[in-house]
Amino acid sequence: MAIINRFGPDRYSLFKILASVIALLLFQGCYEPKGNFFVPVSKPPPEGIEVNLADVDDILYVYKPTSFSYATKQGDYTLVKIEGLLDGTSLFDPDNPTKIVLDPKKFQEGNHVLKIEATFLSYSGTLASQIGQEYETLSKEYNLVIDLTAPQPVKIKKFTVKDGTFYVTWEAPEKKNFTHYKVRRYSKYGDQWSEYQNTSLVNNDVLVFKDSLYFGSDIKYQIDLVGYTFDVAGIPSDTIVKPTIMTIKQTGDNTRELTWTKSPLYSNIANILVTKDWSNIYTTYPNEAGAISLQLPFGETPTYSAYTTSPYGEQQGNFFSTMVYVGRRLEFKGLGETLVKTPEWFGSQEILINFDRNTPKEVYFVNSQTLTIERKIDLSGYLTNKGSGGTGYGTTPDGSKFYLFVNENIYQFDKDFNLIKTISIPEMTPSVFAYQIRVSNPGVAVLDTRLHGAVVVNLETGEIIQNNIPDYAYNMGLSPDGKYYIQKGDVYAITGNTPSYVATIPDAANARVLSFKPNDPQVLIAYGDGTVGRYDLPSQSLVTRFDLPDYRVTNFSYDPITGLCGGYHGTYPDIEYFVFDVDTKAIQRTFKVTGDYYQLYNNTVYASNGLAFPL
Amino acid sequence: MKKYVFRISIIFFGIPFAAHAQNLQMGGGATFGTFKMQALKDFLKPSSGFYLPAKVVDNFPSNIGYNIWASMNVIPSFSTGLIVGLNSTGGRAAYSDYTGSYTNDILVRGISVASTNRYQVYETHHVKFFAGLDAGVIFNRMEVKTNIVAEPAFVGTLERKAKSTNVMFSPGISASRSFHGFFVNAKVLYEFNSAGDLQWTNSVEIMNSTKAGETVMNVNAPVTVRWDGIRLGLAVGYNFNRDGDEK
Repeated sequence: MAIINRFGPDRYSLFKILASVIALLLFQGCYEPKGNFFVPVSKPPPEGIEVNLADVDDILYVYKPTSFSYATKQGDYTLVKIEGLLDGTSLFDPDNPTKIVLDPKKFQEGNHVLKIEATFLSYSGTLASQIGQEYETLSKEYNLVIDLTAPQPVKIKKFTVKDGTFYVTWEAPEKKNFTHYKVRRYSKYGDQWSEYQNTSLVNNDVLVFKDSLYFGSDIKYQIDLVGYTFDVAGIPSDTIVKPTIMTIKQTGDNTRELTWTKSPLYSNIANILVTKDWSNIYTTYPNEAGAISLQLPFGETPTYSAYTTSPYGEQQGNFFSTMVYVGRRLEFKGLGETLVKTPEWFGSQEILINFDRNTPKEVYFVNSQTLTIERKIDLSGYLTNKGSGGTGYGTTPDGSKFYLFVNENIYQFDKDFNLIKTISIPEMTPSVFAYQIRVSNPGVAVLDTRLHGAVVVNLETGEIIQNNIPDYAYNMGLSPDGKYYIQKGDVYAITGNTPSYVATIPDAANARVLSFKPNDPQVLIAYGDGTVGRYDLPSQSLVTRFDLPDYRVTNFSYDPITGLCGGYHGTYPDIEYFVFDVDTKAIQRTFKVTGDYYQLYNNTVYASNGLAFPL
Repeated sequence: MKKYVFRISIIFFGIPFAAHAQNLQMGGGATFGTFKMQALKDFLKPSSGFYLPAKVVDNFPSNIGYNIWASMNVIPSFSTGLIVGLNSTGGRAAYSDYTGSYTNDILVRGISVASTNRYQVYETHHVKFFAGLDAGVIFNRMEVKTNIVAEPAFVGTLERKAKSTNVMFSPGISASRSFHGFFVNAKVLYEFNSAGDLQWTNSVEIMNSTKAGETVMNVNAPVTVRWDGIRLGLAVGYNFNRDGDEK
């Protein structure tokens, strides 16, 4: 009121207006910055962006999980998101927003429409691009075909050897909706094909496979198709390219030449390694034709192997492996390696006895010329009560009878292995080591028994002619006609199952071999000192005893067919076998041997390991 | 702001009661002035390494300021009193293209509280001429606002505030004419500042892009507000003397 009184009503109103204007200016009149700086930047052209698929007009062919994405040829773009719609079904993967993976298994086969929208981040220099907010979105549609139906199997077109290596060419299937070819390789062992483990996968646009690991011999290929939902086995085809051929050529009685040729697949081969008896010691030869000479005594059966080495790593090919020996190896068909041995002569027949330890288990009638088995006799039916008792067998030289000893039982068979009779002589239970018992044609036998040691017995009558002979039966001589036996050089005649002393062969008590000639009452003697003699029983006189010059006969053998004799002398490795005529003392043949046990029969020398050397 | 309102209220409502005193004058006016603000101009200018080719489009221009005052005659030719003024100006660095816009605004305000002193040097035809000097302090407030808009995907804002205090003095001349107790006053003066460094008070950041935060400003640099410059003023007032006329 004081102010009103002082100003008066008019002045007071004016003062209030003035004060209000000043207050309003104080609080409302602050400056506000203004202005703008617009830069007319052009929108970046998107032509630098292109889809990584086929041309837009093409139909996309989908047969496996397929990734779709965009790419930029030029400019500065970054794909930040790509979304696909297949017939309206989204393919977007929030975990991988810049990639579309179409799994054809999730859709039906046939025609589809694929729409792809790709969002790019561009860097054109605008404000939005500077803060990473400038986007460009492209949208395209494609016709798409899903095909998961397997094509026809692949056929191999040809095999080619070129520039020393091997090529397999096949025919492309009509459809290409598979991812790979699987090249499968097989090698042949006998009649069986065996697949190599190193199967190769090659791209579906390849039609030729170069096999740098093939060294030759039988090979089979099969080109399979590998698809997303199928595997189609190809049509196999096989061929053979002769590998480096190794041959064994005889150059002498005891020499062989091992030769090999140059492989047509020479580019696949670095070297040739030759080894003996699978030893780690080998000889390296260049990949050219070559030969080596082998010194080979009769009786030795080394295995020579030749390997090819690959220039691509440690791969090796065994293109040759063979047993090398002098003579023939009596490996009978059907028996293989289980019974390679010299047959026994059962009259005009040859038999092989298969033992189970010392027990004769099977008898094979064989042909050593054709190496075939003509007949098999199973003896197991007679061995049921064998127990731990002694067993053995014996054959008559004329092949008319076969005797099987099982404990006290003696089974007699004819030449056709019909059981003739069985006799039981408890005293005749053979010793464990008497498995090969010597029997004469009439049935007189010498054998080692458990109870009486070496005995002479008549197997036809079961009568014991003599027992408790202080010798081993296999040291005793027995004439094929059963009329004589010799023990410690003393000759006994058997008359009516009664032995009678005849004579003593001089110096023959310790003779190593006493062989009766088949048709003459004469005895061939291999003395302990290496000399050879012939004793005539009727005249009781030593017809001859001689020592071949430089020959000290070891392992004397008499061939009852030819009348020739054989034996060897010397020390390993210079052991020489010689065949001679006991009457003329002429050396018929010599060759190197290993020093084993040999038997001369029908003009052939047989080694105990199943080798035969025809003279 | 409340304390400023309080202070101004004291001036508006307190001084009229003091008008019982002899030769009291009160008034308010506006000034148009230039401002030096060199440090802030440098502060606003985008550096060469800035990721946008931004440009300064508003660079602390001259602006109208406002003031109120009250004074009394100590002797017939000399009066002294109190003047409270407000000045404001600002600057902007900006960039925009079809993808969006960037602005970096600086708004600075100064409220001055000073003693105002005038000495009458001449009078003719009811117009009085004075020589004057104002001296006091300026309380500065500065706001820095960075705004990035890249519609529709992005909006980012960064705000910072700072304050400082200046000491000022303004010599000048003025002329006034009275009309039945009211008077009009025109003046010319030059304001000198002794400026203090700005102290940052707070920062508010609303960003969804790290790149947008790469501001050109070096907030650790010593920045000063300088209101130095010429002032052309026009004011109206009322003389509370015995006969209503200004002495």
